[in-house]
Amino acid sequence: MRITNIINIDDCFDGSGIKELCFDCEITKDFIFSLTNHGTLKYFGDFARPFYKLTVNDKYYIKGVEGNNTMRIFLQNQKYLNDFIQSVIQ
Amino acid sequence: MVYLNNCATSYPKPISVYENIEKYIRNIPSDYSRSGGINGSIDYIAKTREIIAEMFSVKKAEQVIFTSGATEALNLVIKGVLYKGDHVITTETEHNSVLRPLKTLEQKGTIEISIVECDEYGFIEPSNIINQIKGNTRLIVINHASNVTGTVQNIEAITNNLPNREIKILLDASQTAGNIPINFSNLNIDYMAFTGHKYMYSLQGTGCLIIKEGNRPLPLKTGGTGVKSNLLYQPEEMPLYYEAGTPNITGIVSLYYGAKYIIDSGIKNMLRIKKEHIKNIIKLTQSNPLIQPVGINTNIEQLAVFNFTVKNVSVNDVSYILENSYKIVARSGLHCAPLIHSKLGTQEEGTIRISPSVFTTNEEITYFCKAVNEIANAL
Repeated sequence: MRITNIINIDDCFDGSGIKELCFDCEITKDFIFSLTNHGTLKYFGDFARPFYKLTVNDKYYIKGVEGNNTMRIFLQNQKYLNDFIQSVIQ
Repeated sequence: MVYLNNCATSYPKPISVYENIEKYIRNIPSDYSRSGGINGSIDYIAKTREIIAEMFSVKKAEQVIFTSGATEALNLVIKGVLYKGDHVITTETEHNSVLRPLKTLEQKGTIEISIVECDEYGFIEPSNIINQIKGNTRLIVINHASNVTGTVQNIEAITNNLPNREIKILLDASQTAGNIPINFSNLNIDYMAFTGHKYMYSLQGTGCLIIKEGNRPLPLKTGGTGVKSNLLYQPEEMPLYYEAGTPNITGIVSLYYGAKYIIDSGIKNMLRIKKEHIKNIIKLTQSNPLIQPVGINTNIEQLAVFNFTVKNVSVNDVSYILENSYKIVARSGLHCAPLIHSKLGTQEEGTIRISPSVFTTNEEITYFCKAVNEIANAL
């Protein structure tokens, strides 16, 4: 899967570390569970559409919904965006 | 999608709003304030001023000034009546559209501000405002109803106890205009600002400032008015004095049909429907201890708003799941009213705010309650 766009998200507080990552395909259950290699994953499969949240200590957390083409990343520091892209996406 | 964010922007609008906007923009532009209008066209500027005056019991239509929203209307008064050394009283329930212009003037050393505390429901004890009045108090700026808790303030208890009428009252009616009956004349206030895109069912970029006769703030902007173009100064009669530049007639058309819809439907009837939705939300969530209502008090006058948090869960996660998993649009955060949250105990993240519309169905409310119960129980 490939990131097609990164959108800055405005937030009620400082949203400079929040990005919406857009992908060229839907986020699958297999991909979500592969995230366990990178941090602590919580997966809620009983919601109308399953929700997941991955926390990578002191660096960032991501959240999203299975089947969406996007996920949202909350960065402690902008430099961790590349960490995420290189370690998780590529 | 289930839309429960009407405190921010109303959706959907009445069909008449959509239809008449389209009709207006598909026709040759006709502006009675510029060209006298094209034969057979409607003078929406005059008609809308009249219907707004009727709706809020304003004596003369010319007291109604069109603005780009509540923020412009509030800024017009704040920047148009205050001078160096003036004192302003405002409250913890205010939106940033009031707080930021006031704090900016304070930072410049122009004014001093007293911010009156609210209680845990967002109610301001009127005597606490009166007690702050000093010799140099020039303006009281007060939110008619908090956009967080929906608590409606007792404005008459303030205006009736002012020591003198040199102190002007600016009411921010952004949440109440079109939502509850307002009689501008009876409230005995000097200025009332509101936006069109919330409960007036109009487009974003619309709003009004109503000015009580005898008041004359400096205009926020000057420029073309389409009439008296030979004058090099702004024409001084109302409402031209405050309406420089090409008017947002498409927005004004939406304001007319939004106001007409409210008058035709009955504002009290509409409020009853919205409040019924809130009652149902409370009924369907109150047995879940994880869902924690914020600022709700059924013994005081509040608008149809339900604020809550979920125990030990980020409000951002809850609203994200509502929107992305359940297709329910709600708003989370401080709602641009940062000070009130210290009283609500929600200053860290804010709340999730649910604000149904007269168009919201019972099924949508039931679905929302099911969703929020599932989320609270799972996380």
